[in-house]
Amino acid sequence: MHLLLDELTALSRTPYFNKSLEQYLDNLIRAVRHVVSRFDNFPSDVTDQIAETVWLAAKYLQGGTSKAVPYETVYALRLALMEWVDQPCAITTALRDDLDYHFWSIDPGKVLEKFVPDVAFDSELIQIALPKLYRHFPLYNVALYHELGHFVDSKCGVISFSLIWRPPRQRPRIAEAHRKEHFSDLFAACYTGSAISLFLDSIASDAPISATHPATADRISVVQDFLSGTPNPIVDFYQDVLKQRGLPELNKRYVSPSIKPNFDAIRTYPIADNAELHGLIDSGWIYLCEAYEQKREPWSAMSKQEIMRIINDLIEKSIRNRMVKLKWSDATNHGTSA
Amino acid sequence: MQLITGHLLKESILSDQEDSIFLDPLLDEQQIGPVTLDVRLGYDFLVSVVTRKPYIELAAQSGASRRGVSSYFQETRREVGDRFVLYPDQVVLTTTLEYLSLPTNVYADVLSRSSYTRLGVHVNTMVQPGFKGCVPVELYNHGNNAIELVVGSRICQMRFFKMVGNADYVNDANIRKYYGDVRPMVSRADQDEDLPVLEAARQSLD
Amino acid sequence: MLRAAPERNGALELIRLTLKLVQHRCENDISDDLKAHFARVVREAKLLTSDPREGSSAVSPESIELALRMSLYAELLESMEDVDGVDTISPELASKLLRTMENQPVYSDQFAFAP
Repeated sequence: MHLLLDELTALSRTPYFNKSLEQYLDNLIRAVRHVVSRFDNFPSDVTDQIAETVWLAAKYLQGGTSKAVPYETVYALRLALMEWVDQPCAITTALRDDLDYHFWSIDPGKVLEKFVPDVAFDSELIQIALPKLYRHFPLYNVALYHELGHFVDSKCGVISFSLIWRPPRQRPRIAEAHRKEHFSDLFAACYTGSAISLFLDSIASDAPISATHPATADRISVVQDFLSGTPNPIVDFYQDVLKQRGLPELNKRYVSPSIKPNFDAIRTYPIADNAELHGLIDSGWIYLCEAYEQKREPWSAMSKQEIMRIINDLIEKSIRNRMVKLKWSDATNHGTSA
Repeated sequence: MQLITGHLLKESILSDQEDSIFLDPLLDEQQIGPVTLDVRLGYDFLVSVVTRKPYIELAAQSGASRRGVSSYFQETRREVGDRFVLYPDQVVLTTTLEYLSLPTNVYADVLSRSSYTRLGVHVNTMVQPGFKGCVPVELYNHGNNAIELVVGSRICQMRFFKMVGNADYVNDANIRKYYGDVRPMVSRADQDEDLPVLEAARQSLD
Repeated sequence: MLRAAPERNGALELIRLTLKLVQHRCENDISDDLKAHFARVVREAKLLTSDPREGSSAVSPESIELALRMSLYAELLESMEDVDGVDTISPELASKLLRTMENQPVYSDQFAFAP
């Protein structure tokens, strides 16, 4: 715990670009100091458990000092996240060397504030991780919407509740895993439409059923039924579970903008609202696939690699432009401070 | 060739037409002046870093390996309103905040605004007809003091020239090195087609 | 999304910590806030176990996790019968409860997929 405290204190001396992370860290240091001061009174397995949580939080907070934050991706995900959680979130990002994605909350604050008097964490610490290779490829980061689905499931107890309310009849462990994956696919589809299916098809089109995942073909089929409004017992199941839990139902929370005129001219698209922002991923994937297949102007002279790069860059820049315009508009409407 | 000015400049920038000057975002119409357009400092930077190799090698000698140009630069990102410090004698690659799309019969000069030139920050570059992307800006601090720049501030100004003919920028692979870039890119001088030819010429003289 | 979904281990963290303090006879270190939290989770979990229709949005994910374990492990359900809060748990019972809430996937290996 002493070493952790030193680590956190060193972190606090690194400049952050995010005030909510700074505040979270300050609270964390205060809380850990209290635990350390009462160290001898706590059993070792209690301090070990607290230490493990704090250590994970320290790892998360390291990411907050990164100078290569994928702001555009984080912004889009934060908008989606805020529709499902009440508490403000302090988000860190990690750029991974492997091809994994995750969207996790470790939140030692939740534990520490029960042990330490006068400490309140008013935000939850979350880490978004994506492959470094894809940091400028927002189309690939549709996977993060899927991971957000797992986060929402965990936060709201969706699948766990479903296991009580409708216990699986056979192979419960596999049923649990598959329920989680289908839920997260559908969750992602609520924001990114067919993009999640196109992405799955591009990375694992032949993947058969496994202990942890349904077959890709089945996953895509469920998503397509959901998006087209075709009756599907798996979709109906989740809607029932969400209703029982008093949670919003799964529905389309995006609008697919018509990006063809702009992207054909290799121009950014002026996003009108949050629904269009999420929908840009859906439109972007469809546009990308068409650009590959049809080889029309302006893409006919370009390699696939270039087409992929430019289209992803246009999407990234369109999202960033939206962020900038909103900040500017907010600042000019509310006036500048002295 | 004609310098685009006044209401013609404004009309072109504010138009959605395919043959107009496209700029996104245009945060303030006041950026459009009688003769020039002010553009803003972007949020992505490539900062030159010192490495163990004492120079950037553009062409390896035959059979030898060469360190990539990108290894001499470090990426760093900011948000609008954040500060970026430009140190004396430091080369930093960035772009404009704005994404620009030029028609094939218009090219543009990019110059530092007087307020920044007087601080020792010089920018003097051009943008090809048919250009698409965030305008690359090579920042260099000629002064003795470090300068704190604010992301999103109006650091450069652009002049637009209408040509008599069109330049086919998209289909000519040779001049598409920096096409559609939305962030600063390191030099691709090492990809110049002339370099292998010159190396072969050097060897033949030996 | 090709890797398995993250384990839910963090959901019962506070409950486990509280039980560990009881196990080690450190009840004085359990704040009133923590005691109230523990009592609420146990109450909600029991309600949910007896009637799954009680799973409204007011029920916390922690309570759901506990209820799930209680529905799967008869031993846990039985042990929790007389538990209302921290004051009704002995150190021996705390040890027993911790054993059945070990940090592992909910379903035991006997249900694992057979190739």
